[in-house]
Amino acid sequence: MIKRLWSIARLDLILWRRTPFAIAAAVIPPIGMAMVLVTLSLAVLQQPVALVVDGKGPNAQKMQRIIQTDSDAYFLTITDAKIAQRMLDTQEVAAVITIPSDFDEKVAKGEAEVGYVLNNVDIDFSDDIRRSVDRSVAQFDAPQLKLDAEEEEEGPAGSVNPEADNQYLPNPYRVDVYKRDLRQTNVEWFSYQTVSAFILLILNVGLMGTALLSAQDIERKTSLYLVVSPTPSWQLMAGRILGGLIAVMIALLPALILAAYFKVISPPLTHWPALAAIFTTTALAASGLGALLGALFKGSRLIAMAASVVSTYLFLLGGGFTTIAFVPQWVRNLSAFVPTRYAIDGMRQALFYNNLDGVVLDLIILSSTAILTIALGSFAVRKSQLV
Amino acid sequence: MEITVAFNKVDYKIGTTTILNNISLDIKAGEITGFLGLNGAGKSTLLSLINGLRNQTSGKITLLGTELPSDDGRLRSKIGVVFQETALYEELTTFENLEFAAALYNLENTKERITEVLELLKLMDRKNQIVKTLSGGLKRRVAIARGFLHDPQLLIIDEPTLGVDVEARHAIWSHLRLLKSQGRTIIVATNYLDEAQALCDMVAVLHKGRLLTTASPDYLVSRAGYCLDVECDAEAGEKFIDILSGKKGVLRADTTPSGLSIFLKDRTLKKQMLDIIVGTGKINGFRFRSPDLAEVFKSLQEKNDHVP
Repeated sequence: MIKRLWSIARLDLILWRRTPFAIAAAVIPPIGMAMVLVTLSLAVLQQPVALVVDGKGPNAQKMQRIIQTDSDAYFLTITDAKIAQRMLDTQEVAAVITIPSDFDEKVAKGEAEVGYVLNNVDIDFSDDIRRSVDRSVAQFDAPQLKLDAEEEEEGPAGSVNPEADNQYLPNPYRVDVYKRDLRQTNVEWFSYQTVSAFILLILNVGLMGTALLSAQDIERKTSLYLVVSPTPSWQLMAGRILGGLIAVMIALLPALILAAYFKVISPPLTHWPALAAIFTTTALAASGLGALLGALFKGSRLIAMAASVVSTYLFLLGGGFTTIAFVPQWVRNLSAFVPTRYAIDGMRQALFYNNLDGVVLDLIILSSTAILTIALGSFAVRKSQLV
Repeated sequence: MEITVAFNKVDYKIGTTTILNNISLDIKAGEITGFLGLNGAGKSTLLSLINGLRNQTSGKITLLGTELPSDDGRLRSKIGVVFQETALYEELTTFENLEFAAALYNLENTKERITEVLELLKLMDRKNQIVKTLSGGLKRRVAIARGFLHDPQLLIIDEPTLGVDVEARHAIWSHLRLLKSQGRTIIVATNYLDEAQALCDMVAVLHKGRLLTTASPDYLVSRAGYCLDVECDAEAGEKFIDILSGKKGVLRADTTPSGLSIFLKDRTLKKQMLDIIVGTGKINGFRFRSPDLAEVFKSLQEKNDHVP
C-alpha cells in the first residue's frame, strides 16, 4: 500500500517538476500577493504630505516641529505653497498642511488654525491624515499629555509628559483613556497579512495543482489506466493528496524560513509544532479538495474553472482578506463551513497569540476535511470514468 | 478449449440509444480474437465492458470465471489494457512509465521485469527517453509493454496500430504474435481487415452494435472473394460485367469510378478472368488484392437477412 501511495505521489511530483508552467502558476500569485503586501504595508504606515510653514514665530516653529517629529504618520515634504499645490494636483502628496503666517498672533488670541487641504479619494488614507493632524494639534495644546503611549514603561496614555515638566499648563482634558492590549507588542500589518499569502500559496499548490493534475489525467486518458488498474480508489485519492502535500511543503518551507529569518513571523518556540500541524493539515485538506474536484468533474476546462472558483471562495470566505470575526454575522455563519477559516484561525492563533486556544478544533476540522475528500473522491474517481 | 470471456445476450444502452445489441460471444484462451468493425460499430464499447470501464445494461459477461461487473482488484490484475489513446505519461521516461505501472500492479522485482519487457519489445535503447519525444509507433510499443508488464492472462488492445507507419505496424504485429506464442489471450479491436488477417485466429465482426458473425479472417476474405480491380472506361466496364456475371467462380462484379471490381472465389481464377476481359475490350490496367472491410460487410449483408 505504502509503495502504491508513494508511487502516485512521486508521479505527481515529477509531473509538477517537469511542467514549469504549473510551478509558475502555483508560485507567482503568492509571490505577487507578498509584493502587494509589502507595498501596502509601506503605504498604510505613512502618507505623503506637504507642509507649508508661512509663520515665522516660535509657536509656528513649535507646530512645525511637532508635525515633523510625527514620522509614523507622515512622509513629509516641507515646501512653499506653490510647489505644494502642484504636488497635490499631480497626486504626489495626499494633503497639504499649512501653518499660516499669522499663526503666532492667532495663538495669542486663542484663534489659531492649522489648515489642510486633503485629497480624500480614499477614506482610509484620509482618516489617517485627519487623525494625525488632530493629534499634532492636541500635542501643541496639551504637551503634558503623552500621546504616543505604546511603550509599556511609559505608562498609560494621558499621563504627564516628562518632557513637558517645565510647562505648567493645566490638562485641558477631563477624561482619560485606559487601554489594555492582548499582546505585549502590536502585530505589524504586514506580519498579520502574511498568513493570507501562506493560505494563497497552499491553495494554489495544493488545491489548484492537484486539481489540474487530475484534469491532465482526464485529458490524456491516463485516468482510464489508473481506474482499470487493481489499485483501490481510495489509494488513488490518498496518493494524489500525498503528492499535493509534499508539493505544498516544497513551496511553503522556503517561504516560512524566509519569513522567520526576516522576523516577519516570530511565534513562540513552543508554538512551532502546532503551526507545523496546521500547515500540514491545511495542505492535506487543500490537496484533498483539489483531488475531489478532479474526481467529480469531467473535462480539464471544467476542473480548472471549478478549482479556480473554489479556491477564490475558500480564500475570501476563510478570512484571507480580513479577520472573519469582524465581518457581518451571515458571512461568519457561512464561513463556519469553510475549512480555510479554521486554517487561518489556527495559523493566527499559533503565530500571534500567547496560547493555542482553539487550535485543536482547527486541526480536527482540517484533518476531517482531508479524510472526507478521500472518502467522497474514492466513490467519484471510478464513477467519473464510467459512462 | 477454455473460455476466457463469455458474452451472453449482452446489451449496452446510453439512455434510449442502443450501443450494443444482444451480443453473444465466446473468447477462447490462448488465441488472438479481433473485434472488427467500422468506426461506431461498438468495438471499443465491447472492450470497455470487459475492462470494467462500463457496465452492461443487460445480459451476462463472464471474465476468467468471474461474473461482471466486479470490483475485485485481483480480477483487474489478471487483465492488461492498452487504450486507443496510448494514455502514457508524456513527461516521464519509458522506464518511469513502466515503473509507475509496476507499482500500481504491486509487482516485485520491478527492475528485472521492466528490463525483460523492454528487451522483449526491443525498447531497451528507449529506456530513458522522455515519452513525448518518441514516435507514434514507439509510444504504442511502450503502451503495449505497460499493458503486459504484470503478465496478465488477458491482454486487451484497442486499435494496436492506429496512426503508426507501415514498419512500426509490422513490428507491433510481430510482438503481439510473440505474446500469443507465450500463451496469452489477446483481444484486439481494429478497423483493418489486413490487421485482423495478420494477427487474429478468430474475428467477431460488429456493425452498428450488432455481432454480424464470428469467423476466421481467412474465411471472411474467402467469403467476400479475392478482388480483381480493372481500370477501364464505363462503357467497357458495363460490357465486362455482362460477360462475367454468372461465370463459375465469380462471386460478384461491381462498377467503380475507375472501372470495375470483380470478386473471385479463388485466387487461381485471376488469369482466366483477365484473359476473358482482355479478349473482350480495352483495359488501362489491373490490380489483384484482398477485399477491404467495407467489401466484407457488403458480402455479409448480402448473405444475412438480419443485418441492418
